Amino acid sequence: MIAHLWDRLADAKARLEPVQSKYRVLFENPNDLDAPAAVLVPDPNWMAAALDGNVLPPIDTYLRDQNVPDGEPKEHPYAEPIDAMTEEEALEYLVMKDISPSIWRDYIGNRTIMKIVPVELIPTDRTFRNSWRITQAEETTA
Amino acid sequence: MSTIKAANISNGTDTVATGYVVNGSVKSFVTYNFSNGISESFNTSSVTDVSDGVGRQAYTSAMNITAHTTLGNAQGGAHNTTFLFCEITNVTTSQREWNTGTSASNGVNALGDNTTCHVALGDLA
Repeated sequence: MIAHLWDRLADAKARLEPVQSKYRVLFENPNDLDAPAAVLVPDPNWMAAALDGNVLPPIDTYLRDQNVPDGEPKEHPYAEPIDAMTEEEALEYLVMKDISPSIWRDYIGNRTIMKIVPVELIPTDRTFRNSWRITQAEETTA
Repeated sequence: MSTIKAANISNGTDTVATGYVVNGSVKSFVTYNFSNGISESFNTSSVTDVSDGVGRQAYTSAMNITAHTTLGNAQGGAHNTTFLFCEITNVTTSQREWNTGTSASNGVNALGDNTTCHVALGDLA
């Protein structure tokens, strides 16, 4: 019998050292043009569990559970845990889990609205935090 | 992973049903600072810095209902006439957001990047 995800997380927290990710996910909301860029920070205990394996459920269970009504059984707590991921795979998983599909799947515009960047590229000066936008790389055509 | 199955827990004098411990425990917590990131956490997959003073925590293991118990608190302050606030907003079974900032005795409120602590209680999905 598979233990509940919450129990697996408790076990993982007890035996694994937290892992601070070297990356952040920058993203903008295409449905709110006035909103500044958001910065997703991976949780260190979650990252440790992702890199160790046999704790987290398949990402598709989370996506299916988004449509499950309140109080109804969800699939992800008792799904078969997946193997260890690389940090890159873990970040892709986190994007699909914690960021709206309207940003990572459905957006069809030309603007870059999501980027995975090293922590060092996030400004430490937050004076103008509500003006942050993702820098658009210049594209050249031959 | 080993599992101890028991209906009750006792210290030799007092006995409680295991369900009290399992059902009454905190299901998720996080301490977050907008500049320094996550310092303490459990059952949290990420925190998103949405904008000045606005954050969003995502649970790894979802709660059973949207109306679960959530608590949030801003840390700091200086025993003066400006106080820190933390308001929980936009709660779902898988995440919740917060607004934090300062509230002054002259009636001026402003969002700001306080350190905040959050817990969730209730039944898991």
